Amino acid sequence: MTRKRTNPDFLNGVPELLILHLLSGRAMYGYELVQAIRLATNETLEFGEGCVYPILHRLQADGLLASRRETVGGRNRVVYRITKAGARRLEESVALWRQITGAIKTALQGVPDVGPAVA
Amino acid sequence: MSGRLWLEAVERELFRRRLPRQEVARLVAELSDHLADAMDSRSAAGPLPVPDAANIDSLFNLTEERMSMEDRVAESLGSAAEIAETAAQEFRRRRTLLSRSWLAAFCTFVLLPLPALLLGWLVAWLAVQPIFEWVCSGEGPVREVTSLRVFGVHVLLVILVAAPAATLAALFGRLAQKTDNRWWWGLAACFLLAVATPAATTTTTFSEAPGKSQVRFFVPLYGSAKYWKSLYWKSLAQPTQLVQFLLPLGVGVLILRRSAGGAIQLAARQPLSSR
Repeated sequence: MTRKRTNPDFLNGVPELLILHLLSGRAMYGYELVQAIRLATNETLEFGEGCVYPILHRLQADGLLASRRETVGGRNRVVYRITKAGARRLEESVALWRQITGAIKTALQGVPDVGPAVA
Repeated sequence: MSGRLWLEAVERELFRRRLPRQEVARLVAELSDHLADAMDSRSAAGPLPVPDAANIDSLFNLTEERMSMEDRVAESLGSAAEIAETAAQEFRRRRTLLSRSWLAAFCTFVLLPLPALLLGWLVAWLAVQPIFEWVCSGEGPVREVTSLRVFGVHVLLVILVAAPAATLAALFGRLAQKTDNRWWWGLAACFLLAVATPAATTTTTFSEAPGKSQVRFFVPLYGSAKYWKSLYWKSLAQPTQLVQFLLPLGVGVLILRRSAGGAIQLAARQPLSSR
């Protein structure tokens, strides 16, 4: 098991953002959600698929998601859906994410050259 | 590692990190579902050959192939330690009812402190009462009123009044720190405790005659606004009462200052996490 995972510290908060975003489209069960993340991110993010479940449980405990056991494809599965509070959190997170990426983009474009002051 | 062994390893790691049994059971059940889904999906992509019952080698190969498929699925799920560590971290990050509900926070940090203080005083009084009884007891030889004895009783009275308030201020401060760093709730609780503590008054009468010494602890539970106002300003003019006011507030501010530092660090590390 030597797969290189994406740095989890650097991506703090990203799985939460992706989960909320994908579940805002439609309700999904765990395996379906993991596949949706893979597809949505073009398989750029490498992560232990099992690590999604503790995040889902925390989001549910925080009232951002709701879950229910449902029969999907002939099998009993835990299906997650976003709540109103989750939708609000998603809006905030997306706005914050855009603000951060904008700031980083500006920083990476470089600081304009400030020449020495001429007396 | 087969799927079953992998699930057992995850379960062991989760228990090792002291996660609640219910949480472990839920996580293992969902991982088991995920494992089954992933196996189905891979089988659908390339079905395993039908074994020839007569050929023992084909049966052996099929078992090996299935095991290697399970290995790959387990690998994609992550190592048992990795999942258990994430589960433990996420479990600690969960927000409680106190951090989510304004009403729950109001009841805890605004309505609860004063009844809790009264209860604290009652418990403290019951704990120190035997000592006062011994001091004021009329039994035995006539007790000499020494300055040490007077000092001892006064120290005990200060502890009786201030210790429950300071302890509760520390507890409410810590609770505010634990519940999403909502420091203003903690400060409100400590301020209420600070305002209420000087209302408790104590009087002492020392006599060498047996049974004549008295220690009285008085908390006014009701009265007019005028009565409270006069009692309060009179109380605060005394150094002991002033200490009683400042102590819970000081303890609370001290604990909340430490939690505010933690909040700043948390915000810097987790820009997208809940705040």
